[in-house]
Amino acid sequence: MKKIWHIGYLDLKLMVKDKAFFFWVLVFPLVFILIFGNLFRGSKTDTKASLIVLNQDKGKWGAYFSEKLKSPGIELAVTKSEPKDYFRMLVIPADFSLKIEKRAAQTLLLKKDEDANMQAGAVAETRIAQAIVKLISELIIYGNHRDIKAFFDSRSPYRDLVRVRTRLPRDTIAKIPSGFDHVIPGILIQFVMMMVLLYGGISVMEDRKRRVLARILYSSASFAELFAGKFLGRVLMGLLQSAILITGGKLFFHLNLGNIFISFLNILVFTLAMACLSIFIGSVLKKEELIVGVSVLLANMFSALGGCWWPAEIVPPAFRTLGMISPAYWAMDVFHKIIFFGKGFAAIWPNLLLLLAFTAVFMALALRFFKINE
Amino acid sequence: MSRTTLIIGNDIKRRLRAPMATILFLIIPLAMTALIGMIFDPGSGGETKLPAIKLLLVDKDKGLAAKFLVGAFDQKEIKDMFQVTLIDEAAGEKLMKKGKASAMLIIPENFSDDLAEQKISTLEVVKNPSEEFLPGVAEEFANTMAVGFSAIVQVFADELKIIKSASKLNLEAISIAELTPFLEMARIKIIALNSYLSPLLLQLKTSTTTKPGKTAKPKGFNIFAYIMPGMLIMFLLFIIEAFMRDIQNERADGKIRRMMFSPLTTRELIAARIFSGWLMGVLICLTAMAVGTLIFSIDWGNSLLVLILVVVSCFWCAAFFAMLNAFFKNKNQAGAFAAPIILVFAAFGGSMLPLEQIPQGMRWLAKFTVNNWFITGSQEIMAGGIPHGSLIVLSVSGLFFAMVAMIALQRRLST
Repeated sequence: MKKIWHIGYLDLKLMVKDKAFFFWVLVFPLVFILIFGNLFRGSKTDTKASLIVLNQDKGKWGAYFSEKLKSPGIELAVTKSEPKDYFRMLVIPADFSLKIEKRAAQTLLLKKDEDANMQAGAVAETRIAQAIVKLISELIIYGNHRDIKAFFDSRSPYRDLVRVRTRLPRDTIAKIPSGFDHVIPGILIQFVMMMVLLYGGISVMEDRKRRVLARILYSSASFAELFAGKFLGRVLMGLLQSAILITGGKLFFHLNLGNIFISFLNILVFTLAMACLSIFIGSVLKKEELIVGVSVLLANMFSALGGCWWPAEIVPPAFRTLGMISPAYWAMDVFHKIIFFGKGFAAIWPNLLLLLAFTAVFMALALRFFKINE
Repeated sequence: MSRTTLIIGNDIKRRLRAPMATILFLIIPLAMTALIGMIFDPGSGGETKLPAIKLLLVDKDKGLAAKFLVGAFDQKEIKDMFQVTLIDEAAGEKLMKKGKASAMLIIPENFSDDLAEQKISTLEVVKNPSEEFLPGVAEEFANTMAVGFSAIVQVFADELKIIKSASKLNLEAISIAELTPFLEMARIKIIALNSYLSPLLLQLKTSTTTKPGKTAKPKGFNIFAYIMPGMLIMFLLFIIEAFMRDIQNERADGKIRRMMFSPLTTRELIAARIFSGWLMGVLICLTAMAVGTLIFSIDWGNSLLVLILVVVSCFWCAAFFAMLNAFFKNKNQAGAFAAPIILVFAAFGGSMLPLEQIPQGMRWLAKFTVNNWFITGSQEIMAGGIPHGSLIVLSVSGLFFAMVAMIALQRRLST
């Protein structure tokens, strides 16, 4: 056991000594978290569905309609002149009041910048439609047999008789998760995969080329101990990467991982699978460039299919099913269950079992192809 | 044949003899483009469609208003948008706890009666916490329904009261004479309604605007054409970097020192290395673009402009990595720093996600990456423009890097 620990620990030490180590395990994932975390929070200036109302109307109705647009979740600014820069702008034409008073149909123009947040745009559009419904309903209640000029003195204002209350499922979580809570688990899984496959694969290949593996076998270590040591080294790499990212996530982004014990178990089991896969890749490929290529390809494909990059809900059902071939999918599913639904071990053990099945397959491949000499 | 040409020929031959790594780095951008493109393919309509939103609907009222609300989900457009399951509250709550639906809409008890009496009633939307977008869409839909119902209820307030009281009475006890004033009132409202709704008094039209100096997204948008340039330049950087790292490998195994015994000058050697990296990059890039055209039907635009952009971009990459290799002490250092630099370029330059999605405070960083200039240049050519900015920035900075590389590498190789 001591020998296994020595071999594994040495591999970990070599990785930590690498010049780019802190870039790979800390700086780059943090850049990713910043970019993707902010991406799901939306642009700072566009989070509340900003809407500029260019009110060119010469009567009272334009201002009245603008008032109707006020609602939670929308950032409204009414202006008389066209601004240079905007995400979306609703144009109320000069003859707005005139047409309303004549009860003549008219069209409002909503100009949207093509780079604006689509989600915020949909919210703004919905609110405009709701304001139109409110105004028309007031006009109908007022009736078209009365003098429209007297509307503002004798109208029956629209009331929100039907309201909407939102909540999360009972006995799950109390607070709506932040964008970072959605993003960090995905990035964590992706980087554990990338780090273990890249560093783990390349070091197996280099140790074989430089005859380090053969020299270890000249010592009292057996083949089994050598293999177990290499396996342990890669598991330690993954765990170290996770520990750094979780600490960074907690410190900088108030990351909530739910039940920390189950989170750790999930990461551990996932890392076991990746450790075996990295030994397999390092054993069958002979060039560093090839290992980099295969590792990048696998890590990216597994991440994309496994739901590490974008919310699984927006992915077509066929790709969601295809994603099940990726170990990342099962690890991400565990994170979802514990972070967003507050589930315990009873809900996640099938996922862990599946990840162990992946480990068994990769382990069999690694053992079959693990070579001491070229 | 000059000595420089001999080295270039030899370098290319060497790469072609062991092409696996190059082929792999050629496959990766194509595979990533295919995967992302297929997931987010907007289809013929031009807009990315969200999958149908799984919505659980709980009707605790069973009255007339609730029936209207449930019936609204049978409208064609709404049916396409939502996959509705009518369910009781306990079972729905169980499914929501398992994350099996995006949202659950609960129509409260006495919903119809409360509305008839003009009392406030509250619809409840239970949102799936693991989903980021679809529950929000369901909530917005519920809000719109709420506004619509509030409006109808207020418009037909008197009529609803009658319907409610009539539903409790024996029909034989009501006379037509008693109903006449209410029918007249309803008639006036329906006439008013007709004048406001047919045609609709207020309609909304949307148009997309482009900021000055930006190229508008062309019609007939091909998502693969949108993704591929970013992926291509990222992996092109990897390919050219590996090629340029040979300078370090050959320094380490003494090959360069042996070559210096020949009449070859360091200047010739460096020029040959930059040129072969450049040439290899151009060949691979053009191959990938041709494959992109065949598989993804990408129309890259004016071929001559595309060729110029590829040539300039590949020159930039070769010159940049030649310069970096002049500052790296050995191949380990080159290996350690080059990949992070490429990934930072990719992250901020628009290869990993569109530039407009990057937080605004970080967007200026893109101007310092080849990825940004290549991507915007490609898009400009596809849109029928000439990428003046990209060509000028890349060729000027590329020449500068090549000059620095020439000077610094000569010093490095002579020590």
